[in-house]
Amino acid sequence: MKTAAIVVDHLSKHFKVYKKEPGVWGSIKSLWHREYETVKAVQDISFSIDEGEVIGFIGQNGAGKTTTLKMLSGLLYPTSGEVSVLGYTPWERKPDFQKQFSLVMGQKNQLWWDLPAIETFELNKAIYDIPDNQYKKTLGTLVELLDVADIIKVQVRKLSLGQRMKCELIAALLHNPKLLFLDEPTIGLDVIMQKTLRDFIREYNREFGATIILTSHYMDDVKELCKRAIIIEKGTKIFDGELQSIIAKYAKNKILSLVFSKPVQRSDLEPYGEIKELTQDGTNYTATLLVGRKSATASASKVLSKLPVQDLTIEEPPIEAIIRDVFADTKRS
Amino acid sequence: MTVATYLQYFKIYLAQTFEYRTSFFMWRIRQVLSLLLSLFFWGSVYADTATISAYTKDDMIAYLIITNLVFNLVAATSLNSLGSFIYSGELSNFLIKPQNISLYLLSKEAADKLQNLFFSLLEAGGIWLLFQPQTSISLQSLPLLGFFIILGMGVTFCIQLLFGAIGFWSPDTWGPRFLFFTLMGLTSGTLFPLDILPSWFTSTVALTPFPFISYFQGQLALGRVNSDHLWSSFLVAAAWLVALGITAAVVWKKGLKDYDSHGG
Ligand SMILES: Nc1ncnc2c1ncn2[C@@H]1O[C@H](COP(=O)(O)OP(=O)(O)OP(=O)(O)O)[C@@H](O)[C@H]1O
Ligand SMILES: [Mg+2]
Repeated sequence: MKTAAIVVDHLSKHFKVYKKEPGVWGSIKSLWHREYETVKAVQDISFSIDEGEVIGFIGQNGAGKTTTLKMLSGLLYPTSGEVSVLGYTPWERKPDFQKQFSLVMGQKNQLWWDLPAIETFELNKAIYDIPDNQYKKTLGTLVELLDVADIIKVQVRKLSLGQRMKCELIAALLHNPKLLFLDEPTIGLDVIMQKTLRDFIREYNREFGATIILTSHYMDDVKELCKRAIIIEKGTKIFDGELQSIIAKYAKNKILSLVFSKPVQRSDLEPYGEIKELTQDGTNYTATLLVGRKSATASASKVLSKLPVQDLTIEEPPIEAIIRDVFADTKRS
Repeated sequence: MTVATYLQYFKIYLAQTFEYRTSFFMWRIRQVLSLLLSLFFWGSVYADTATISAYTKDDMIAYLIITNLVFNLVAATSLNSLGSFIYSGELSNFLIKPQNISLYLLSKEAADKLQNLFFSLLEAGGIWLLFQPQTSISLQSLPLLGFFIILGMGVTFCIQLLFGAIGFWSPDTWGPRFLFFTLMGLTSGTLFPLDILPSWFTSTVALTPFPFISYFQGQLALGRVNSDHLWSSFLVAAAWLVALGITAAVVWKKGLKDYDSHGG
């Protein structure tokens, strides 16, 4: 039987924020009178995660993903509820606990801006008390896997976003954490870099059996890495289960984007799928079709052979579309 | 959690001092200019009088150079932006790792103080040679001077922690600090020796932590502290250190619990 790495029990977090009225007058008024309102960022969430699982934690902007991860990593005290992570209560911030996980945020960096990444690595070696030989070995492996041997000696502020993200990951993994919270690690990266990081994360999970919670707004990240997904919406959990089952149920279509070299008729396209968009302005001839998930490749090859196609891509529908559908369904039932 | 961690922080911050060279030199020039200005000001005051209170012109010059040096060590700080460091959520990076936040801040301060000590000593030494005040400096008081400098540093560190802690609850960290540090600048004794003012003023200020920012150390160096005065001052300073230390610990404990970890 597998043991649970994380158990979350009726967890809530409410923030008290003060409402500022717009304009100069609003600012002046706020000198003597402030109105507060409560933001229910996380509302009565429960779930449990086994050791070694990779979970996709998805939801629209402001759904409460980051807030939940911050509670799981002990940065925030919850308003109510219980959490056990690796047997610890995270917000007690015990060093023994902190040595066993890492939180990586795509929008924030732990690397020292003015220094080369290697300095942050050295610092983490001291902080996490990593033995010399283990440090050298891990660093060597990570640097080779991510191909950053030269980059780690350059001041971080001079790195590209993708290079920096690779270094962020190394800094987070040097102490071989058993548990990884990845909050949008691929945000803003190009498709190739996203893929590189994905492969790397999968490799890390396989090699060390690490438990991973991943948030992302990119369907590909979640689909390739996670078997199970938890969806939250406005602070509450609306789905928890096999990712495949929601993809099969809600993401019936893929998106076929086409660029033509010559004008095409609406009727030429109709047989292949549902036309979402068709532009024929004399210079650009583009179209977007929704095609069945299963028949996507077949449709694409037919379109290629029948019509003057210049460029073609098949994409997953955006994650938000699926979330909306799941949400609409839960409200209905 | 090892000594190595804090040594590493110390090294990083020491190295960072010289990263922004222009700002660094500008700051040093500011320090020297403000001391020179105050020396010239007092020089002109002494144009038609031999002594002010119990200070000859040479005493005054020596006093000002020494208190400015001490002020640079005790009051200058790398923690001015601690409040926004907390409010912005930058603290999260540190809070999430197995390390002690106050030791981290202490290492940062230590690096700042060490480079400050080095350059302030050079500057003060240069200015001393330039003005050559004819006054006796009591060399036996050096260990005591060092002790009270460290005590003063402890007091200002706690005060910095307290002002920084505002960042746990409010972005509005600048106003209260500004008021406080203005008051501190006026009563720390770097502009003039506090005892040239009426005695009710001196004895009131003596109960606050402010004289230990530099005035008292200046008095020690000039050999103007008798043993009664020494003991009472020690008790006052130690009481402040303990009181501020406990308050800072309590406030931080509450702050770390209420911490909002903004951003991301
Ligand atoms: N420190 C805070 N103080 C006040 N409100 C907050 C704070 N942190 C988050 N919130 C609010 O809580 C809600 C959830 O925010 P959270 O950052 O968890 O969303 P998220 O799911 O990570 O969104 P995104 O996908 O945009 O990153 C939002 O309405 C946000 O405005
Ligand atoms: Mg987020």
